[in-house]
Amino acid sequence: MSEPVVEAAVSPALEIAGLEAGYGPTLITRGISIVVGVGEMVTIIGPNGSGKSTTIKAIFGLADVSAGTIRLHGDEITGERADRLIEMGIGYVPQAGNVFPTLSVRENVEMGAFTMRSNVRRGMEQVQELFPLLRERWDSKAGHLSGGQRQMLALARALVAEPSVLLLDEPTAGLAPQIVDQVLVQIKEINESGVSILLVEQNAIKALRHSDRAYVLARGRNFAEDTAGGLLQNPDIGRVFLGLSGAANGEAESEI
Amino acid sequence: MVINTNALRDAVVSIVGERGFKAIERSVLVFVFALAVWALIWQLDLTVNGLLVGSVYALGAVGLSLVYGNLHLPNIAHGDYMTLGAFVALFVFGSLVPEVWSQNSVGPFTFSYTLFIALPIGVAFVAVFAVAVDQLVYRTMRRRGALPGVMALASLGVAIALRGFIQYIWGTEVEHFPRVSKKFFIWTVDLFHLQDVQVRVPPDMIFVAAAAIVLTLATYLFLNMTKWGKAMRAAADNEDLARVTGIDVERTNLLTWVIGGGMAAAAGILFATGQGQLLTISGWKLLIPLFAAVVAGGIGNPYGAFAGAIFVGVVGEVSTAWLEPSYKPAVFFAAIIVLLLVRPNGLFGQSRS
Amino acid sequence: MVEFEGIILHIGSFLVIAGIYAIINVGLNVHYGHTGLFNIGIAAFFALGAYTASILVMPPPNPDLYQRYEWGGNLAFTLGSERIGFDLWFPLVLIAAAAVCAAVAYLVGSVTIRLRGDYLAITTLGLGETIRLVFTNEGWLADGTRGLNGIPRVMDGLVDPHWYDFVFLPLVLIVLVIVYFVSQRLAASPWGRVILAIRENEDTVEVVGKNAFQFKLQAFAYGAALMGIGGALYAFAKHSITPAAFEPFFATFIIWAMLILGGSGNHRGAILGSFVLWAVISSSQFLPGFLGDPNLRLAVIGLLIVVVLLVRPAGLIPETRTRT
Repeated sequence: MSEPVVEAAVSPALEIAGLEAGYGPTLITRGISIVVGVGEMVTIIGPNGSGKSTTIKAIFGLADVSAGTIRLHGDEITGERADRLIEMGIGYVPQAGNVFPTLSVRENVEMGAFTMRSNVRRGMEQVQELFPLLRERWDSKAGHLSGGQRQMLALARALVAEPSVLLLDEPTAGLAPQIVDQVLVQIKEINESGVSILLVEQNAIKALRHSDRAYVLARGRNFAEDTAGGLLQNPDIGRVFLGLSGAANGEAESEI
Repeated sequence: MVINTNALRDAVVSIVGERGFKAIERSVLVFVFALAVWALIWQLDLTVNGLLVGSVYALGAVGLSLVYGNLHLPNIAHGDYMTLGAFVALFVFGSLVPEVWSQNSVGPFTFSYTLFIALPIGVAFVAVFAVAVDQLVYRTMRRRGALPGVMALASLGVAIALRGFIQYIWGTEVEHFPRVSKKFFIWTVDLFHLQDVQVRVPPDMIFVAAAAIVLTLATYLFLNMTKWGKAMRAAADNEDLARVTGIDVERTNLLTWVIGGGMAAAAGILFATGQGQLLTISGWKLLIPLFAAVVAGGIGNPYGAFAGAIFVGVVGEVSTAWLEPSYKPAVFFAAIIVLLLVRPNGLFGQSRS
Repeated sequence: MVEFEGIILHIGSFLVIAGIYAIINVGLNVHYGHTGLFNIGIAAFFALGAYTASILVMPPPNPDLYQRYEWGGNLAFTLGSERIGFDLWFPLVLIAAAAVCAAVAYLVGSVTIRLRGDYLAITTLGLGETIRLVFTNEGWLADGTRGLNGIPRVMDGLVDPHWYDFVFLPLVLIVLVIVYFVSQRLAASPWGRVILAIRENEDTVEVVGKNAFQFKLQAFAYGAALMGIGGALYAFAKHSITPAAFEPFFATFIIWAMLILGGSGNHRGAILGSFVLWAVISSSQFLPGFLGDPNLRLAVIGLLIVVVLLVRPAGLIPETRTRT
């Protein structure tokens, strides 16, 4: 199951090849390879400790990379500083604590445009259109927002720098089920506006429904890779990774 | 995790019930407030002096709170940074400008225009010094992930070393800032036709208070209206998130030291101007009221620190109506304890975390 | 031979003071090294211990000589060797000094320890100044700035006063050894393991159902008690005390420098640091020229703290961490 099953349908936006990364002496990922095509929405799923988050963190220098390469539109970006990455068009929304609580919603979004030298106003307006809920609370402190609103704000902050690729680390963690759908729909809309997305998710089934393709990681290595539909149909994957009881039951509605 | 946080409260509640406790709490607060207002009015002269002294504290406390909030460092050397700024100014007065320049004073104040030469030089010197110490000491420790306690300990070392060098160069005797004697402003206030109170204000203190307000306002505008100011606040909130948002955190740290160190120097110079004299321990002695002001204002809240400093200044001065003036540090200490008991997040602020 | 005698005398007084610093340093190590409590008001407990012991043993002052100073416990006379054959007051006042310091630490700690760690630093700094102010201003208590003189000595008259340090030195060392072993045993006890666990990660301690606050408070009181014992011994060693002796430099900063140098987290490091640094400081006054300048010495102590923290954060004897 470890060989790639399908090639990315279009030219790659983000390529991760043979990534070995971890924290200090502890190695978490042991040779992970992931490709996100231009305009694709790709999800990484897998059990805890499989290296999902570490893969994304390694791109932004939050985990130590010991081997492997990361390319953005063909240019190697391994070990680049965060401000360079953002200038090159890659955005990142970390999992927890992803807003500045004592800054207002407006200021949070402004910080997303920190590296931009021009035309912040246009990005700000676009973000307000995309997230009407945030516009209503534009001048209140981010710390006073609800969990779902914080996720929207974190997305907005990443989007204002107009990235071509967006990395999202468990954007639905800790949210109520109906909010989870809302956030995922919002992410899909962002994707459809032309932003390639790499998503790490615990709510695997819901995420797969919105994704084009997905990678399954286990023990720091690629375990499986397929279209989202293909993985949902796969009885082994369903049983082991998605918590679906009936084999080959792609329509199962049960949640993990 | 439920810790029995207040045994006294629980004991009272068990006797009078929750509503009874609330009523007691409220009446105690009203009583204390009324008592405070009564004291402030009858000690009007001390209250006015307290406002002015508080504004000197404010100059120091704003910078201290900024560094504390942004870099998570309770900078024990802050008082000695103030002293350093004042000694640099003394050097300017003594060596860089001709003595005759110091003989014509500005308006009603005791100082001459040379203060406006010494002030920027002192501010720039301490700002550069603070940045240099950060690069040499604190940056390495931050990278190593040192705990705030260890960082504070390093700042204690910096404080001791700095004072040692200042004393080695300038000696430990009292130094005098150049000054021209001026009359106090004196107002007589008739309190409800019961008592006349004479309010005496040294003219320099009015200048110091104005400078404190202007500098605090400038800090506020910088932090809230400029891109780098907002970035500093963002980095204070969450340094890792700031970094992945593309904010140059090393530079916001440097800016914090430039402002914190510069404000400390301004405070030290203006304090020495107001006092007319300077000791190598002047800054260190201010550390307790400054920390009291920072705690009162809520740690990491620079404008809160301003208000906290005014509060601490007034409490300190008014207390001299009943206590020996030399007990002031004890009053500040008591104020810190009471504040921590009643309002751990400061008088005005909410919690940062 | 006079010079030789001078050297011997100097070594005696050096060892006495270094031993006293070592006792206080074990207390600081309980606070900071073991519990992570950042106490920069050592002077508070140092002074409190010294004054408690002195006031208790001093004879009542002659009212003709003093205007304000009023009271002395006179224990040196009532429980001294002249009456009962040996100086029973000595262990008693050490315990009293320890008890007073523990009580004050308990009171202050119960307000501040619960809060974020750095609040303790601020309040202890204030406490150190406040305690000194009380002894400076309250003349009736201990004669204000002039302080107490002629504090009775334990086992006085055994040798020529000139050589008294060598009578007192064994006592200091005995107390140091007792303090060391008791603290060592405590650190290895279940109580000590909880304390170390709190320093590493307070939340895990709470999770297993221990009230971290109470443990920290107890550690704070215990460390303060040791500082009080050190203060009491200091008063007897110096024979006289004034509030100025408890300025932060000699009563707080030096002790921090000693702990950092020796290695915080283990009592042997704390003790070694005390002897090494006090040897450097007390011999540097004999250095020629600018090297003997007390202000430069101050600067060097400050730099020492910074450099050791940067270059050798674990100190001369690093703590051996046991995995649990």
